[in-house]
Amino acid sequence: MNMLRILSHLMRADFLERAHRYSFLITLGLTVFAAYLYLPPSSADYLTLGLGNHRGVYNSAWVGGAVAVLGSALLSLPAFYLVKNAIERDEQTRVGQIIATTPLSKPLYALGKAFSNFVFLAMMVGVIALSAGAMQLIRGEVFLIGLCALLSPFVFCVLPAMALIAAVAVLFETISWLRGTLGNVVYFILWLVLLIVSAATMSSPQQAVKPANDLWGIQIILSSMMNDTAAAFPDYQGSVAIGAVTLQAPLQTFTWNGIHWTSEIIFGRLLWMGAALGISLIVALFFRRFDPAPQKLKPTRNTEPIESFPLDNIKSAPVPAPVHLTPLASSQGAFHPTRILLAELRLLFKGIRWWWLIVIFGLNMAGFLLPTNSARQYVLPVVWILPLAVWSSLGTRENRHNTDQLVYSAPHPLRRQFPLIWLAGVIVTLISGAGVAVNLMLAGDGLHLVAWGIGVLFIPTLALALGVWSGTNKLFEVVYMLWWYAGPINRVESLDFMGTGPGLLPGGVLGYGLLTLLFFALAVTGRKRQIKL
Amino acid sequence: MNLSINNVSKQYRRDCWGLRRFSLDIGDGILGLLGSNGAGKSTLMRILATVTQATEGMVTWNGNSHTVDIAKKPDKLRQVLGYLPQDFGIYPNLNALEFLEYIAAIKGLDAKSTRRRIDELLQIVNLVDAAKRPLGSFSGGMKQRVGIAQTLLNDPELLIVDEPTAGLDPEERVRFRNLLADLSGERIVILSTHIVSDIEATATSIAIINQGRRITHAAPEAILRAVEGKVWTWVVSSEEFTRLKQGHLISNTARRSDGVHIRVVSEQRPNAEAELASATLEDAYLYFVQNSRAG
Repeated sequence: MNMLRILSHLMRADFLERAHRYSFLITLGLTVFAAYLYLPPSSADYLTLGLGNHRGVYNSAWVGGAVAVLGSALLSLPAFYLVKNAIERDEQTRVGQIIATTPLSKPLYALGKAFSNFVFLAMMVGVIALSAGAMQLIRGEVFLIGLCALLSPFVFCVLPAMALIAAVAVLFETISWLRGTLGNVVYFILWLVLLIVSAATMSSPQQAVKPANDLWGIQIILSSMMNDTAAAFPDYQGSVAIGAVTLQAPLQTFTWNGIHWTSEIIFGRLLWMGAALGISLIVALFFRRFDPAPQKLKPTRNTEPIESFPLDNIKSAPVPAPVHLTPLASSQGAFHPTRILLAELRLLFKGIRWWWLIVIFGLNMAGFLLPTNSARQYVLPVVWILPLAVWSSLGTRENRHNTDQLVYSAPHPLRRQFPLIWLAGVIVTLISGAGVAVNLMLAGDGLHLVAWGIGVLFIPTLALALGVWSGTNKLFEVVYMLWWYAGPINRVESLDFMGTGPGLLPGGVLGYGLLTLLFFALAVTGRKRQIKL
Repeated sequence: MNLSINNVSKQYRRDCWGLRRFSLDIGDGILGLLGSNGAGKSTLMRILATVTQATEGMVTWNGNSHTVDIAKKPDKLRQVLGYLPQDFGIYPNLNALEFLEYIAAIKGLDAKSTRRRIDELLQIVNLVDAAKRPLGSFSGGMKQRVGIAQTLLNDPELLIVDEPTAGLDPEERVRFRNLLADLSGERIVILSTHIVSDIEATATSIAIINQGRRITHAAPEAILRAVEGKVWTWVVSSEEFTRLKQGHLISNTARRSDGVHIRVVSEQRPNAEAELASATLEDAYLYFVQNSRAG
């Protein structure tokens, strides 16, 4: 009973702390908006969950199932980054040091944090579910709301996935090398791999679903939808697309009555809840209980106590000679851009490991020596993901390290220092991609060289704008990784800000140039607002 | 030099005012700003340091050149400003030397002056031996000393220090007080604290603030004179002490073998055995704050 009370209070304090922030309201607003986009009207020329050109009539079963699939697949990425700060917040607010001195055990603390993460995410899922119900009425294809049909996909499919994310977020926070940018990248890769594996195993409508293998819970719903589509439309090829997909033929609808929740399915989903619980308990092994320098106790070799300082031998210490400050030259307050730029560069590079620099150097050599096309298509995307942590500190450093009052009370923080922060970011990007640039120059590939140059300006500008407005490095890291994966890696031409693909058009390069200007203006406005707060 | 604060108010939320129509005229010397927690000291400091803007009113700075409204031309003041916030951070991967070089660069100091200045400041704040250690490994007091050093980098005409001795050990605290006294030549120093002894040792004038309003602003001698003849001491039993706590403004107590020695600030003699004592700044502070609440 006492344990439940502790858990509920840990959860309550965490939840209230999160719920009192503006970001919480913004997240809820975005969630409701996403639910709105998930169910396009029948007149729209696109589907968000498309089975060829077919979809179910918007009854509670289809609305619940479709929104649950989209929610599970798409919410599972931002959900992790939203809750991966429960322990960090206790550390930053120094509440952790108070908690560390209470009898609260490590497993209970870890469980409490995972539980509070879960409650936060469950609330978001609840808002999505309610919005889905409202959308069913707004679209008005079927007015009868079946609560069980609407909510069961969220309860059985989305919530276990959220429980696992909640626990994994706490685990990442307690393992030192997974706490920062590297952890954010690792989760992004994990999410992507799991999504691809999930999609790959959905190749045919007759595919047997194993609930225990289906982390996001989307296979259970999709396979049932696909089977019923195949039964209703014999010409259905068994394709499924998640996300905005343009209709290639007139839309055809059918009535889908939902999933028959068997004990096997429910048990499979409960297994994931159990896994979440297990991970939460494993966290206790890594959790340092806010000890900044944890060490194991060494066996004492010499048991003789050290004698205390003999008071009778105290002699008056010599008084140090007073130090006087030499008056400064009258040029104080002048603008020394080179000095500020060097200081900003030092700040960016401090804390970077030597092996990182060697990898960047090696990739630059490869970018220079490989054939131009290979260098542009394969080396450039790799070399322009490595400085992710360096870029994501742009615009967030002052907030993260609480140096804002010192920095903003210096002369001309916006006119003098801010452009040089940006320039330092540009220099990092330029140096890291220099090998490919030289290669392009020698090959006389002017258009790709210009695209490379726009990329050099675009990346740090995006980082600065998102950093200044969000105050955290996570937003840029997630947005950049998604953009990088879709554009330079998957060759979605409109998203290829590096100009890696062969079909590069001057208009696209110009577009990114304009976008860079827009993000720069956003960054300046954001910093101006910070300084005037 | 003159810093003039005219009817300045700061509103945080609808019914939450950090400052209410606060006015003060500050000239050369050390102004000690005294007030309880939440009195509005840090709000005032942040407005004066151009970190936040007032909701109403105006602050003007009359330096060696000309008079400026600091809300309209904050950079004029920033060039001659040294500011130590109450709660500030550092970049943990930099060492003290690198951090001070960074702040010097953004303050616009030239390279030649910077190096010599940093060396001198590191000696003054007693961090020469730790100058090349990452700041992330510094104790709270050491970080505070780095903060003090950065305020003096540009030889400021206006030095604003908010709770500067918080976290310093007694030796460093004395050292800092002496430093402040040495610095208070032709410049304005604003020292905000609720530690009365810090102000007692250094301030040339004192302002007391409570609930966002100015209670008084005067020289320490004038403030002390206001409570002269109103401070009483006598010895009571433990039982009587418990009873006396309810109705008197007690500024100090000490338990001894003969009973509890109490010190009371009161317009009238509170007890037949009470004897007059010479007033301290702590007595005066309690007297003014109590009176402002009653009024």
